[in-house]
Amino acid sequence: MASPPLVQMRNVHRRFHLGETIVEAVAGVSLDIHTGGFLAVWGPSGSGKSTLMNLIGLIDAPSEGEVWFEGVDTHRMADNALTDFRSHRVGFVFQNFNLIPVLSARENVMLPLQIAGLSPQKASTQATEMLVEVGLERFLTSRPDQLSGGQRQRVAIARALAIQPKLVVADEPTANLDSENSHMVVNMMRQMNRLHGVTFVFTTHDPRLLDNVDRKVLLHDGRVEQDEILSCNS
Amino acid sequence: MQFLTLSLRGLLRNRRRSLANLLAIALGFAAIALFAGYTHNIYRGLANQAIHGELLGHLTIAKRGMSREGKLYPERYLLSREEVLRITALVKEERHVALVTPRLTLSGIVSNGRASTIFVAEGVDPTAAKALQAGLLVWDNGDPKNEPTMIGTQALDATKPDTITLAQGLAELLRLKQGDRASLLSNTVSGQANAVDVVVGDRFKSGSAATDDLYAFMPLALARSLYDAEGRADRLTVLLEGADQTDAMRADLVEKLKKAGYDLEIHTWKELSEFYMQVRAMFNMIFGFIFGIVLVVVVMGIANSMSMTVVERTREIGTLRAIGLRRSGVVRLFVGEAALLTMLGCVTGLLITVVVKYAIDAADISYVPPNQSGPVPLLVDLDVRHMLLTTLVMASVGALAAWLPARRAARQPIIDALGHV
Repeated sequence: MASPPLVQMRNVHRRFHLGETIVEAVAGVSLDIHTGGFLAVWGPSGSGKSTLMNLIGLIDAPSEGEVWFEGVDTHRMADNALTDFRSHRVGFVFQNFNLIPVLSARENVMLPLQIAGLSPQKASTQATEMLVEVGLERFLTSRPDQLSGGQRQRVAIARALAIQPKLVVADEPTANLDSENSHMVVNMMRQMNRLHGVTFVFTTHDPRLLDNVDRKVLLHDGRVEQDEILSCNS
Repeated sequence: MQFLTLSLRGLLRNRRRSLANLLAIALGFAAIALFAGYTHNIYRGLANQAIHGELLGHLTIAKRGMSREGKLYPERYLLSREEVLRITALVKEERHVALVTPRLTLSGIVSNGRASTIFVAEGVDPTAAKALQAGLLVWDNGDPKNEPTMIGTQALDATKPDTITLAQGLAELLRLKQGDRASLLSNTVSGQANAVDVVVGDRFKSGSAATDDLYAFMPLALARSLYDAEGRADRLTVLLEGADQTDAMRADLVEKLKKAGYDLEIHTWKELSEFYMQVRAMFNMIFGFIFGIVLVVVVMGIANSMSMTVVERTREIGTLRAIGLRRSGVVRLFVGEAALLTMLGCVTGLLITVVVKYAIDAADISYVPPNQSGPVPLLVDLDVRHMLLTTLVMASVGALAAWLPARRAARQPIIDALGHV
């Protein structure tokens, strides 16, 4: 019997009130994301990619519909319970890296580990291992402003993977990078996906970055227009 | 958690703002600590003056009603010779009692043969008086030898029964110098007039302009003779080993003397020194006023600084919440930052306080307080109790000032915080 999906979205809507206007960023999306997948959500600007990412990453709640994670209805969870649930299961990579500027690369990676309750010593060891894995062993004590864009995003990937999550949500991780670094970041995510079996969902509006994914979901006006599984990459 | 690191580095992000806040807190702390140290020194000096200078001792024992009606009917409230001896023996049995001595206050007219004026005199045993005034801190700015010119009983001598001392103002009024002769006229207990010739042994400063042309000291034996009250006393003065034993000792003695069959009233030196209590109440009110102003400045500074910090770091708050930090964690982070800033400010304030304290002490400044007959030194103590209290209150209030903006930031939706520009 096939294992249940990691994330199940059932007829999910997300509406925002902008003054007297109601904008529907996600309009009735139903999506199953399976463990170990490497999934790209793509589409033009304003298609609802980021909103969908927020809902998948459990940092936003749907206006209508249900989001299930590992068989748990997350809609019913209180804020603290949902925060703890997320801290052990979901890693994030942001478009602007969102590293803490006053912390070193290692301290940034240690943050989610210490929030999850690890001792400083264990967190430091694991953070170092992760940074070595993304090729930043020479930059452990460097602050974000001492790193290039590509290096910062690798720190962000290491931070997302440090807690050994089930899912990494990456919203436009390459938007602020040149094409060389963009390919490097996507390849790195793919490598981590294969190495650790972590599910990756990322958004992009650059079709050139979709070569390596095993599933791509085209979003348009908040609706899934195309959901294509590329078995050759699986 | 690396919250402490995060808080400390958070403070270093905007160094100029943090420094301005830190200085405001430090100067506020120093202002409070220096004023508290000054009042502490004043209280200590006044307590010393009341207990030793005014010869109040720590406790005063008299017949019940003496404090209320003793001046109207002195004969009714005098302790008999037997009572003086028995009560003295009972009190001396107690641990921590350093001295028990009978006292007799009387008033009358003093004359130099050409002019007369009224006086109020304390009859006190010369040996006991020296013990009572031993160690009294005396300071006279005009005296290079630092002579104890405020000790009124110094010239009293058990071997010179007719030698008395006069307050400086009283002596000047009658132009009496050391070694001059004078006459004292007073009523006896039974209301008869009585007079004795005395020698002026010394002059002293009473410390108060109101009493400087009135007060005199004389040997107890002379006072008893003038008052025709041999062996009697209007009260017993008790000196303890330390002032902190006063209240407990009073409670013990009240019970003990009651059991022994005596109906007595026992007053502490604070109850008898109205001036001490008035000065203390006034300074406490001024201290509260200054403390309140400084607290308002600190709260406004921290609240303003934290509000700006929270706005500047909204996206960071969103990131921390996304990766698993609870709302309470965000609040803790910013409250910790404010508390750390306040603590650092207080430590800096402590350093400023110590430097200014020693500078003031070294400057040898003196001034004449209102209603005082001579100058007193401007000295500042390090009042540890008030400094700890100030640190605690400032840190708590500073944390509270950060709590509101931090709570507001923690409650905003994560996606709004992440999208903040």
